[in-house]
Amino acid sequence: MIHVPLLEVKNLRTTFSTELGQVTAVDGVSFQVDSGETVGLVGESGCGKSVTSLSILRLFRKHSGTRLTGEIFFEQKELLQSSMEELQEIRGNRISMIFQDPMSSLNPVYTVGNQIAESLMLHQKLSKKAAQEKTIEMLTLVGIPSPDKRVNDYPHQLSGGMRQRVMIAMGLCCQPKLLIADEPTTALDVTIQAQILDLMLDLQKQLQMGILLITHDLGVVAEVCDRVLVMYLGQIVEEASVETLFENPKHPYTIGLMKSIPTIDGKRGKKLHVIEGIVPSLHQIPKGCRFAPRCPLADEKCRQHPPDLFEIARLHQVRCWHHERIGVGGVAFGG
Amino acid sequence: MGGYLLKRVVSLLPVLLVVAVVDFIIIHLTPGDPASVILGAQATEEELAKLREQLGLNLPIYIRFFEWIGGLLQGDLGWSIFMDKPVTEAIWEHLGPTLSLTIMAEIIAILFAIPLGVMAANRRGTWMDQTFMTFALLGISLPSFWIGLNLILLFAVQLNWLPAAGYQPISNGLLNHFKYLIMPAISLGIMQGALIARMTRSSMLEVLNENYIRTAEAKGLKMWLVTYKHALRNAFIPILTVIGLSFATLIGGAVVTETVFNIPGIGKLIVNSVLRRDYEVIQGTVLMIAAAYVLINLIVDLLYAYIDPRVRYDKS
Repeated sequence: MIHVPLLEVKNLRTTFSTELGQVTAVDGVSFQVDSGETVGLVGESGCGKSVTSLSILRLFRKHSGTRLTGEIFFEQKELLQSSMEELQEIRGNRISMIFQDPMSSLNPVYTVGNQIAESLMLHQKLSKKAAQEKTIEMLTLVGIPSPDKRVNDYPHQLSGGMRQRVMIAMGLCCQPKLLIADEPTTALDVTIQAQILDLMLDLQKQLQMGILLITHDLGVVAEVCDRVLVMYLGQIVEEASVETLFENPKHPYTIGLMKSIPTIDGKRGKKLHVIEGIVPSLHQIPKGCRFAPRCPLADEKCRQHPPDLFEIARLHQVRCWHHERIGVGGVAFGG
Repeated sequence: MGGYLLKRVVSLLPVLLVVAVVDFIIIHLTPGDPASVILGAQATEEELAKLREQLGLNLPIYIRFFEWIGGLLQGDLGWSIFMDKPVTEAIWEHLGPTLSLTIMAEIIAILFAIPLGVMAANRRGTWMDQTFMTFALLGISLPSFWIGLNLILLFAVQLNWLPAAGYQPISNGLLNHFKYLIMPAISLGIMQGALIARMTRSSMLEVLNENYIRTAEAKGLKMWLVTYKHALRNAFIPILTVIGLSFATLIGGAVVTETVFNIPGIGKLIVNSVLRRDYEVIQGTVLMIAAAYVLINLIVDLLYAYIDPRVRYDKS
């Protein structure tokens, strides 16, 4: 039997028209997510993580001048070619999204109950009353105290953690097969973060969902992901299982990201590692390897020729000319 | 809510008092003599003096002011020396046509402006957006009397479909009432509608960029639900403000439009009373308009809380 992934993104390119011309925010990204699997998508701000996730459901305004090419298969159905009606059938139903900022992602003028019930009435064709009951059930499931009262609250009456739980309840109420979580815990306290992540994983087990977790927090990745995609400036630069990535990172950018994590046994007063330079603008993409201007290993070849993704082991790909020079644990690496 | 309302209503009183004082002073500084208007150019100095005394026009200005204010406190707006009836009665008679015209103009404005503004925002930068907004700019720029005169030329003179001017009260038949009011309502509504459409567009553009709109789309909601349920209600506060202001302005009488279409409304009453130097009518009408203005603003403020649950009046 041929293995069919739940989600398969092939050579996705997302371009925007801006006043300064066309920019390609996502450039030739390919990856897969299986049922029950958690895939992390990591990278700095502006590397194209969120645009990738929005591209899957084509969540761009109609006249915004966004162009999507490539192929996205979800349960073998191509999403980029689907009609808007077909897509609306999938959005919030088969594929759900949880957004970064629970403060601004809920509509301030409707009760949270109304906003959850709306999905249920739309996709599951529940009556108003049944949707209300199911909403209370979902609020209980995500751990909101006295859900029968909270259901009538407006978002501004809830704390940040509660709002994110509401977002999760909204995302999961139709029992989706794929959950795209775009930095779901970034805006929350560390203790709440752990609770929310546990909750997502619990529900994943129950529903056998695939999760695409977008984050810049490698700690979160280490804790919850099975596989990791590292993005830099619109491209995937490394893909590996979470163990491989942490034990044997092969891309200088991945190594840089890992070194930037402060450790508890590190010397106090010692400066934290930073990756030199800043992410270049999408208007001025380097000619060769996109990371070359910031890379300690870069040479003339890197500056002139963009590397492809090399498959260096089973399920381990890296986009670097010098991956062979980097040993286990990222050693033999300057800095 | 009750406490807030009481506070707001009480705070209206000083506003109205200031309006009353300024109103009185400006009108009495205007040169002109009601007695000579009533008696005509042929009147002798003796006749004029006699009438002035009868009307109390020769009393010192402060006595006349306190008499008028004293009357106001008892709900008496004064006496029209030209029409020879209470000012309240004169205003009441003219209020009907103005109210009808205002409501009709406002309905026409809202019915067209909000959908057009929403469509323009949804299709920002397209030919449709540009066309609508060009028309809106034209609507704001063209004076309503010019639009009114052109409507008369087309529908009354050329096509002979509608009466050129005049007014029929609702008691003479609803259809008849509409027939007389439709052209003036359109010429007033175009300007108000243009303002509302532009406000709707800009307010919607802001809201459509909000994260919760993306959430609504990610839920799989149809475009019209996202637009009209999730976006419009959030965009509605500035729109409501413009609607309230335009309504209040129209209640004050569309002087020029009422003149062009010969509608016996508040606007006409003011113009005629100014020409006749009918002081107490002018004072009473201006005061009534000021009161309507502040009351409508109060209603708009109360509606904010209905639209947006975050607006609360009792705290603070």
